[in-house]
Amino acid sequence: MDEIAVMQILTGKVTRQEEPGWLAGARTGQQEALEQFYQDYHAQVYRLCYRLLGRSDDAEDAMQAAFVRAFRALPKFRGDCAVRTWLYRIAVNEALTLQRRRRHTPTDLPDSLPTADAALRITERIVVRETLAQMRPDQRALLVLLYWEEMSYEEIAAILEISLSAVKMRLNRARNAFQKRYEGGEG
Amino acid sequence: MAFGMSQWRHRRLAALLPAYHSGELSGQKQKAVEQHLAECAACRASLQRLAQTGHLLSAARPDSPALPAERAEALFQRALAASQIRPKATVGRRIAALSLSAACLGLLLWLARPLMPAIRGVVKNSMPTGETSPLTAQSGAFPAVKQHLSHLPEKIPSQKTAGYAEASHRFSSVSGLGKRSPRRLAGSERIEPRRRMRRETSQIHESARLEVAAENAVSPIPTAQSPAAQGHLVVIMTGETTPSLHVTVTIGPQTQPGFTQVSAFRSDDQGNGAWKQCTIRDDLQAETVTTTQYQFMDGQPVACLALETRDNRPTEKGDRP
Repeated sequence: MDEIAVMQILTGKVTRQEEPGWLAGARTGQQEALEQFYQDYHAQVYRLCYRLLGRSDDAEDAMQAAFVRAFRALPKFRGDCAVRTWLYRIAVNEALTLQRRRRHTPTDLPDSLPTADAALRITERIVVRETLAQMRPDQRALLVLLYWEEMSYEEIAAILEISLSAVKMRLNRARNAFQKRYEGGEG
Repeated sequence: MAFGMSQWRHRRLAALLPAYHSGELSGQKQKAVEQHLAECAACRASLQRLAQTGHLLSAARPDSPALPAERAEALFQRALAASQIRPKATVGRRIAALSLSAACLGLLLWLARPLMPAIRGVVKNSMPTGETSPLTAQSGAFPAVKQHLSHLPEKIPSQKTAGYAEASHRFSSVSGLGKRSPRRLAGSERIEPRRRMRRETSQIHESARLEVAAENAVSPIPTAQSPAAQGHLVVIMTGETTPSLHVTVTIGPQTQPGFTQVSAFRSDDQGNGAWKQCTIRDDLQAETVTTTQYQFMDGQPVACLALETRDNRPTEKGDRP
């Protein structure tokens, strides 16, 4: 089976996804159904936006924009792929748009610290995150989806609407760019 | 690369390393890569690099802060309202609305004429020249930070210096002395205190941000149930155009005395880091721990401050260490 065929199955382009119960209502704009849709996915979308943008206020803005677009686009959603994939695609696009528009360095809030001598590890994490923040938004998104959202290559391909081989190639480039920046070279 | 191995074969197998690393290969391809790795030092190094990158990135994964239920609800309502398609206005109505808007704007500008010079004066005087004290380089063992910050100049040009009016965020554990931007403050009364604190501290100056990891900041106080509890606070400072920001770290307000802040880590603009001892007064109400002038450079963090509080109250067996 070739790559395209595998992709089509994995992304649901051949086998239609099982539709959630609220989808029919949401397509016609019923508030209860839209609320259920939001309830099911807002935490995941917020987390994704936060990881892409690094700031909670930006993550809120991107999430809201993503749901506005999703609510408007639901009547046209044909169920060719999973709802989550479709929504993540919208959220990634909104987050990248916001990032390009605002042009500030994403700086996330570090996690709470277990011990005082963890400062070196914290510093390391800060440097890694800052390195990521300085990368091109599309490369950053790839690395965030793979390493922070722990998505498979197939899921990433479906979200970004690119082929599996393109995902692999771009991820390689993104990894190299990260490594170069991290080691002090040009990205 | 092993002697005699064709460049073509090397390239082909090297291209499979990411897939090999993520365990996607099987059968012949996997064996071929393993054999090649045994022979090729360059590919072994590439694989090691790949693993290191993955490890670094995975270890730096941030946990997103929880979105409070009421905030999530508010965002849903806003998204729902924004997604509604507005009825199209007729051409006549549009022209009428535009004319009315233009007339209102003209009238407003005409009425505001006497105020304009005064407004310009306020804006001009709101950024007096301040003083900066360059950080001194100290020895330290934080090569990553040093490397990351190695491009920073020794001295930041004085024309970038801006002054700040004193202000503090008493509730937050860290406050910045700077000109606060009104951006995004609207509606802050409706959000919970911790969230408000975070918002305010990130709005110190539109060109200089102070981000605070405040998860433990309001509760580092040892309690009867966990007398040895320690709280930590990490401050990352980044500046976009403002070279310096006066930072005050405040613990409190607290009601129980006897806690001593132990140490702070700081990396200076040369990338060197050092632990610095700071002390909180024992008769705490809301006391300043340390006030330091930090240097900033466009978008780059130059200081990381970690604070720890410890319970130094006497116990039955004697004083805590």
